[in-house]
Amino acid sequence: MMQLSGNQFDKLSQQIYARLGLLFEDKKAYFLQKRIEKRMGVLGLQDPGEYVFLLCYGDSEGKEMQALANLITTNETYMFREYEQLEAFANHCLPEVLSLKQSRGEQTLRIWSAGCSSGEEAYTLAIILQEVFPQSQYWNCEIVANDIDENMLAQASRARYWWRSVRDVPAEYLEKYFVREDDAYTVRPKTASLVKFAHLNLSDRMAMRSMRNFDFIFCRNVLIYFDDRSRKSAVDHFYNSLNRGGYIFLGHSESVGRITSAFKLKRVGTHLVYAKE
Amino acid sequence: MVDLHECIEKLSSEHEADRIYAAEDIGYANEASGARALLARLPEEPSRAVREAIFGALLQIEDESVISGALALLDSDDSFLRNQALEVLRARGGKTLPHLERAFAEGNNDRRKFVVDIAAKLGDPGTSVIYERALKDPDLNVVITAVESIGNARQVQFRVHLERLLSPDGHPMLLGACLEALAQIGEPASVETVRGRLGHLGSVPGYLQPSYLRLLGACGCPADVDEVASMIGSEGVGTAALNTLTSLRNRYPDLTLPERLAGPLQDVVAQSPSALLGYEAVRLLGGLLRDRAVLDFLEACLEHTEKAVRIGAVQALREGGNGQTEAVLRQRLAHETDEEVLQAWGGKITE
Repeated sequence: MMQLSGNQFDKLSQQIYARLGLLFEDKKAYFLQKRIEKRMGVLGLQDPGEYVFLLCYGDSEGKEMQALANLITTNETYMFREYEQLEAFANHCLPEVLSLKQSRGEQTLRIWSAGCSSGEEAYTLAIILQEVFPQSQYWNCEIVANDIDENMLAQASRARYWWRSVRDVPAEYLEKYFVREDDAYTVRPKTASLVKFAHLNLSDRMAMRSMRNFDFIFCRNVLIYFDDRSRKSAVDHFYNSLNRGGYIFLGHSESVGRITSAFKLKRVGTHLVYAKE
Repeated sequence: MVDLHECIEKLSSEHEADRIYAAEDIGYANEASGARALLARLPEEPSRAVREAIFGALLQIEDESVISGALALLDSDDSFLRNQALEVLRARGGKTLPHLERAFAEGNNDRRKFVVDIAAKLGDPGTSVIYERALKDPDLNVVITAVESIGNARQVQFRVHLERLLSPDGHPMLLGACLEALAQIGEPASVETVRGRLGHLGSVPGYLQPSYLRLLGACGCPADVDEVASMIGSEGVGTAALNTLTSLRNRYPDLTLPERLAGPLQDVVAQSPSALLGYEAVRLLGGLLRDRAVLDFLEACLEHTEKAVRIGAVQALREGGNGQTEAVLRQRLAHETDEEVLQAWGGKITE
């Protein structure tokens, strides 16, 4: 059983943070070590130092980092995931944007869930919107949710989930926004109708140009699977898709600032968010 | 089909989005005239987002003018432009080498340092010429940058060059960089050379000891364990010594640790605020299980509040233990609920 030394762990965690934006604290050393053991086994390496070198200096195309990323990230999705970030959206960003719009006499609000997978994030946003802004029913509010996978979109459109997907939904919301049938939870039609699902490849630059005038973009835990150039390109498009004063949210372990300096970093409460000024 | 002329005109559009799209399209067109237009636009472009899009486009254009344009940007006062230019040059790979050699020969200190930085990122065999010149550079910063780059890229052919730079009256930063680079290169012969030139670990100034320890961790042998172990309790280098012992043990799994390490390692577990250090120390204690007190200590660690320490204790007892320790593990872990601790033990508890 190999053991990462403190130096090796530091180097690896710095490299992973620099390239993936994922932060591994000391406490996660074992977690990381187990995944690295797997990769070393696949590559036939014995010495963790060899793996550190490979990842830091011998991986110019990023293939090994991608292979490791696949092991250290979880693509599980569920409603109200990364709750603190959603609190920042609900308590600070959304009221700010709504207030600005009201002062200008506007009554439209557009939110984009990019890379929506099976739709949990999009419906979470619909629930938050109805909670924070009950007048939304009188506005032209729209949550556009896209994914490249047609099967996922079909599943998302059904708005029907099992317990694992709704386990973090506050009990009162579960009662208010879902219909329970046996072990399944279906989003109520009034909430579900706020979400429009459509196919979109985030790497299709012409299709991305058609996505305009959004007030919020959520693209959480999606870009981590992109290479550097595609990630940068997607975020450049997000910049153009966002209205001035709008906000972009990536996953809590992904940093917009690492990908582009075009957005303005703002502190809301205890959370850092990125806005287009 | 992209109308390049139209796109170039749109680079001056008053609308930021149009300028971003124009830059992107020029990149896809991949023509020299497009590259020149992008480079010309950069200094006057006020939007950070557009400037980023311009660099993104330059990365896609294969014309040589991109390389010369990026090299010229290295002299900019704007750090954003310099960093992006470095990225463009790095991405261009070996094609930049003739340009880099010329830039190194003609450039000032800063330019020469940037060139070495880029060479390091290229990882191309042709960069040797630049390294050779940089190691003889009159500017110490350029030499240190070259030494660091050689280490990072594990340029084994420069090992002797680095060893020659080791002199007791050398600049501390240069000496430290050389030791670190030699550690990364990982040639065992370096250890004796370093001893011959700088003396033993205990005799070098304190600021060099962490780097010296890293060298021993990467290139040392079991005979070096005593020398490393003597530093465990030393202020400022204890962590580096612990790391070195871990590295040596990885390289020599049957390594025998001196018994006098038991006390200092237990102190690390008890006193260190770092979960990782505690974990390392506990794992090393696994090599001292012949001492009954160590066995008792590791058993107690199975109930430590820090999960990493519990995991380390499980692994240490499993690796160095016997049927008796397995029974202890079974008993002590009966109430453990953490998945990772149980995974370290090898599965769920079954009665």
